[in-house]
Amino acid sequence: MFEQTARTKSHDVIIVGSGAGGSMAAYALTRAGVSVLLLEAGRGYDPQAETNMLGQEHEAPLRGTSTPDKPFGYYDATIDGGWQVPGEPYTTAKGQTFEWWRSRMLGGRTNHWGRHVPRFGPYDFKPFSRDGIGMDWPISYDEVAPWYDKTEEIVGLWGAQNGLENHPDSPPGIAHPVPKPRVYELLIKAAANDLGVPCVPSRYAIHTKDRPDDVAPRSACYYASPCGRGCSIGAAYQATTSVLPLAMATGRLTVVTDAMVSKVVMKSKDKADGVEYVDRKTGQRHTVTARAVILAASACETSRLLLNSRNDDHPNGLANGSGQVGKNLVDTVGGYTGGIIPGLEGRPIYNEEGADQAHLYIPWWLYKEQAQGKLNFARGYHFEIGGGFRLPGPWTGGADLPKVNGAALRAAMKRKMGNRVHFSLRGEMIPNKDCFAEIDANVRDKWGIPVLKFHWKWADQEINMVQHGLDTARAIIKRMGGTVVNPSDTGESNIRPGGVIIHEGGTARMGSDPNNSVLDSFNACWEVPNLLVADGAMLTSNPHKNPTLTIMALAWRASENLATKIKQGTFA
Amino acid sequence: MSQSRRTTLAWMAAALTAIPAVPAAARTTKATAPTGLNPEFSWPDVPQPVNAAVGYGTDPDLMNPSVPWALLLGDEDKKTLNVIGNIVLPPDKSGPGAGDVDIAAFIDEWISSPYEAQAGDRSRVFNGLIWLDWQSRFLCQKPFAQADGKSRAVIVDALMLDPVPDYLVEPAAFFGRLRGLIVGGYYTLPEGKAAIGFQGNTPMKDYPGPSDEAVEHLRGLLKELNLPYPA
Repeated sequence: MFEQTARTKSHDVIIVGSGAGGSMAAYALTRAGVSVLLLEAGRGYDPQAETNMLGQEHEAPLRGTSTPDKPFGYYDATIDGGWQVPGEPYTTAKGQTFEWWRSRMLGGRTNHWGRHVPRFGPYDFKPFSRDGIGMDWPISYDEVAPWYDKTEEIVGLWGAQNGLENHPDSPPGIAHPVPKPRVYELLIKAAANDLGVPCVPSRYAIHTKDRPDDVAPRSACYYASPCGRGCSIGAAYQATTSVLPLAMATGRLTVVTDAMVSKVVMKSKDKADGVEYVDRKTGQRHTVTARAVILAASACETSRLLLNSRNDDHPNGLANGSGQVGKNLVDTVGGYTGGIIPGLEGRPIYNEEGADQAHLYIPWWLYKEQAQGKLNFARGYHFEIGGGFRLPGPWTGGADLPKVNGAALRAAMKRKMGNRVHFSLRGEMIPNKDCFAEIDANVRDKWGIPVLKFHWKWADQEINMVQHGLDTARAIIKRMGGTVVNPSDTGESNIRPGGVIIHEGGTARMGSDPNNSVLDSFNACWEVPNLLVADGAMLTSNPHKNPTLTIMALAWRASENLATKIKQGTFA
Repeated sequence: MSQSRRTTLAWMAAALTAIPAVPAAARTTKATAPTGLNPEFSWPDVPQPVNAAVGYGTDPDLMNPSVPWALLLGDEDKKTLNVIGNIVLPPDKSGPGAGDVDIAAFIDEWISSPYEAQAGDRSRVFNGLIWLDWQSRFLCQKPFAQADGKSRAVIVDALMLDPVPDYLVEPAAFFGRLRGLIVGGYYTLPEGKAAIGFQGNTPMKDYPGPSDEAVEHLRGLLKELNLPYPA
């Protein structure tokens, strides 16, 4: 009955997908007086009722370790998701690897994301102008900065005034205090600084002060629960504890879950009429219409929708006159270096959990050297650092399991607890012609919708970057008196497969020229002005700075522009 | 009972009935190794059919966790594992032994898992339990769970050798992995967390950062490394 009402009621805008971009668009549009129908492929989700904040390892199957059913562990918030979703396959070109993460739940990946929220900097919006590679965004940092401000106000974050080149800080008054650094972070900072590498307070979408609100009150972090479980107290940002209830409170938001959108339905060559979706519970297909449609289904899903919406007017896929839909597929470059630090063994134990995220991190710092051509890769990376008193788990073995029993083993396990440090490299991938998604004409999902086929090949840029990261992290570990756990890795062997960092982007990029981009500077398709894209597909480039904050900021910016046009009757 | 669980139990029954109490080789030799064990006892290598049980699915009830798959170990198996648990991590003033907190229950849950990642451990543990009983019967005519302390010690000491003789490579690999499961299972229990001194999972208003004692240790470490305390 609810869904029937949703289908018959008139809405100004249909949004496909309730993750970072879609939920922010819903919030921005409804508060601007626009009515919205939000379609989510997954089920409804209530973090207050479903987040086991303090559940312990022994209470979960297999001590909560990851399984194919729950790739990030039993308590992870993700529902019906992972790099493989039953009934929803994808294919990859022969001999190539790409892993496509999806989740099927209200709020999408915001329920479990890492929540590291650096702003893109001025350089990041004009990469081609700086090094002649890739493409410039049609917008500048100065144009986006006010939207970062607004987004950060509602998302909530901790951060400091670091004052670093191309790493904009929030204006005073927005960011909450950063939690105190822990012992291993201070040691890494001391060693890194000694080698000329910065290590500064991080920026995470986590409240460290209460945020009272009648509709969506959010509490300060209480420094205990892993953020990936989701956060029923609202400290760590997720759409389902903030912008979605806020949008719902306007009375202008209708949400339909289990609605798997199959294609965009057109009214004319350059005007979208609505979308067709499959009710995942009944298998029935429905069509809903509105004045405008926003695709925010995730970068790859959105490009799949555009390609599957091809028609006589758009034979190569909707809004794909440029041929760029599905192209320029990027993920964040991922690498890892670990160290064992004897000096951290047997140290005084204290509560080192903190806020479950890095309180300090290592930002990119070699802009000058890159400009001088001293490095064999063009863009930056950062390290998210880790460590702390970590309990042994079911996979404990090797060097972590001394070959003694009894009292000697107890003593050794206690001594070793807290001796590890971790350096997770996150770097900028430059779009290349070998990485793209297309429709696989031979395979359909359980709903009968043609699936994506991925093509993927890292370029030397990324492999050289990971090698540099390995060298840097190893030097820091050595300076701490430690040993590297993966000393024989190379850039080529260490780089994570495409898609594994779950920062896909670029498959419907924004640009200033309809011939080489899909979207204009306000996220509208050049060829279909009432069809917008508000997810990672929009990314003209994907700097090493985790993309979600920028996706949310630009979704808000696009939505306010759309709201103005709707009020002006542009799409009447 | 679901079809998949029935299937699982059926193959377990088939596997268990196929195991001889003493391997054929042992009936024809009196050979002993410097370890005191019988080197003629090869790794049982009982085939492990595919486990047809199902997992907890992609949308389990996170507030009420439960293990949906059938548990495969018998009482004697679990008794043996708890005996080993108390050899690997015996009780002391910091906490109970691993066997005292029924570490076998965790190992049973783990090796009974339908997921591929645990299949290797299932094979190791089942074969390892068989091998332990073979060696124990060779030493004292009793299965490991009923063996005297001296016989158990002979077996465990041999499995802890580094490096191990060729005939102990697979048994020692099993025992190493079993030790990992015992240690991981134990220290993720409340009793184990207390025993190791772990502090966490405690909501607090403000995060105080390192204790004075921890800071003092860091200062000493930085001094050793000739690094300044970071500003």
